[in-house]
Amino acid sequence: MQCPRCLNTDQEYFYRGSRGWYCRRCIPFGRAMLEEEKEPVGLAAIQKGSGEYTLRYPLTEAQKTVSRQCARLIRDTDVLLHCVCGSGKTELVIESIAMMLKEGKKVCFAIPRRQVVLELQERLAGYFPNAKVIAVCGGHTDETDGDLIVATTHQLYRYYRTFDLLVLDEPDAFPFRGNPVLHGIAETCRKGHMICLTATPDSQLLKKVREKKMVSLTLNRRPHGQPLPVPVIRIVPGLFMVLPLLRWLQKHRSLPCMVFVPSVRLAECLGVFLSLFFDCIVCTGRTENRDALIAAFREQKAGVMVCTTVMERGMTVENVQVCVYKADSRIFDEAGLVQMAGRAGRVFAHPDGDVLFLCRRRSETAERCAAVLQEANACAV
Amino acid sequence: MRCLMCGRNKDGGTFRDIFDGADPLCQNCRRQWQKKKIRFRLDGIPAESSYVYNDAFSSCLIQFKEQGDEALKDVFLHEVRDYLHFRFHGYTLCLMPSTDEKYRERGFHHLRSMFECLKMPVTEPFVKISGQSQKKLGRRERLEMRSMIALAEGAVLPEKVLLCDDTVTTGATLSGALSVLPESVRKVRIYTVSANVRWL
Repeated sequence: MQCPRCLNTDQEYFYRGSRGWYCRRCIPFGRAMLEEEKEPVGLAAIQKGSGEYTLRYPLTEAQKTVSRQCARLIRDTDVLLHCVCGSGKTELVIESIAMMLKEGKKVCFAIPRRQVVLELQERLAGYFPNAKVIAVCGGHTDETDGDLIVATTHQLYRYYRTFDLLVLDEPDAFPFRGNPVLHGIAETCRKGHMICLTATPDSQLLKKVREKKMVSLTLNRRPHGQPLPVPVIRIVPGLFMVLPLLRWLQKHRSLPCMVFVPSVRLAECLGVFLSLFFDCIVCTGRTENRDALIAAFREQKAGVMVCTTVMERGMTVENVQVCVYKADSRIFDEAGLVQMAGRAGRVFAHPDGDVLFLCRRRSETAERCAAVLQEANACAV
Repeated sequence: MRCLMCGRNKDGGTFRDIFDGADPLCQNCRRQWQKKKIRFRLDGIPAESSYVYNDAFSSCLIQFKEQGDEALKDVFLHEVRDYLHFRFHGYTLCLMPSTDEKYRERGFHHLRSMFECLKMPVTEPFVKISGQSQKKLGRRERLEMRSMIALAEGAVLPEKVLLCDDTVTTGATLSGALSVLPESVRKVRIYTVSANVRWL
């Protein structure tokens, strides 16, 4: 037996109810009966002319090459776009999306985090002025059909065998990563191929590439051509760790700084402490008005934001400096550290940034992160 | 065996499981339910509940009722089934109704399968007329809805009746049912599995 929706084959998760067998692993998405044939959802045809697009700025030569390669490959196979943070991954797939839309095929852009969905919907609506770009995520589920659908990975259960192209952004981010139900749903919502966009592919994706189920394209350079900021690792005893942090913040007093910490509790404590010296914002998973805080942080062009891993992805602040506090903590993995370091130097006007990792002891993950970034810089020539 | 809520493997179990039958939930999930014997009066009728309606309970109930996860049917009364059996010996369970639409949508009768494990006589003499869901209504609107419950035609009730429901929030459904009970019923008690905080 296999669940038609989440592809579960574990017998323990199946249960025989009064109407027949159903899968309990994906029950939060409603009951999926095993014996009943599931119909693909009928979505409206795509409007003519929705494939036309205009980018905000032209792609660089390197970007153009990857973008064209991707559009060519996607007809026959799945593609992994392995590109460094801030290399404009979204813009790279625009050509492929436009190609599909011109052929009247359904495309979905799926992202694990809800916050990014709304941001991206606006961006894509700007690129495709003639298309109806809709966002489907928690709180925005009244309308589920458009020319181009931007959705959280949780919402993909609505579309059984619907999409001709699924663009999966950051498949290594929480909560998609390591969640078999969401992986299964992402498999069954499409009938065509898939593009994965990430800077830090996990072992599963790399395994697929090795098995030739997927083709990997790499882009190791940001559009401005400057190398990625490589983190400086400093080892300081835990008790005195705030001292180098204070000195570092003092050095960047006139610039916006982000301080990543491993836990919500620590974020709150550190936030209180730092607000004695600096203009300080705390942003964690428990913060309710996160969007407003981020907007304010972008506006004020200086100050400190203390945040947990919720902020590690999909965020661009102009000229931001990054510090990871207790970078040796088990909460941070290599992918997360690469993403955090990737917050710095994303904008044309300020292509470099200062990244500092404060560790209590020598940490392999932090060192590997620095090595990965150095390697990417070396390959970028 | 896997825990029915969190899916984690449930090894070992407790000493109590040996005598009481294995709990379908793991200890971690079970601990999140706040067990408490709550006694109150609803329109003068003594009522009793076993759990506080908290987040853990409500998410479990929603998974059972709205998402149709029938596997959870024995979870709710597992801890209290023996107690209920003795406490309400001689009573006939009288289940609160849902609309026909709801039954069709769910494909099963959620209260019936929930109270099945008590092995006590069960009747369903009521019908619900309105299709409006109570979830979005305020207290006053809910109390006005009392008239939406009626006695089914030709329903015969025994002398001792225990009105049962999964949860009580304002008590609108139950007091509606109380108001249409026929004279022939000599003794009425109310049991709800969980009770909203305001009954504490």
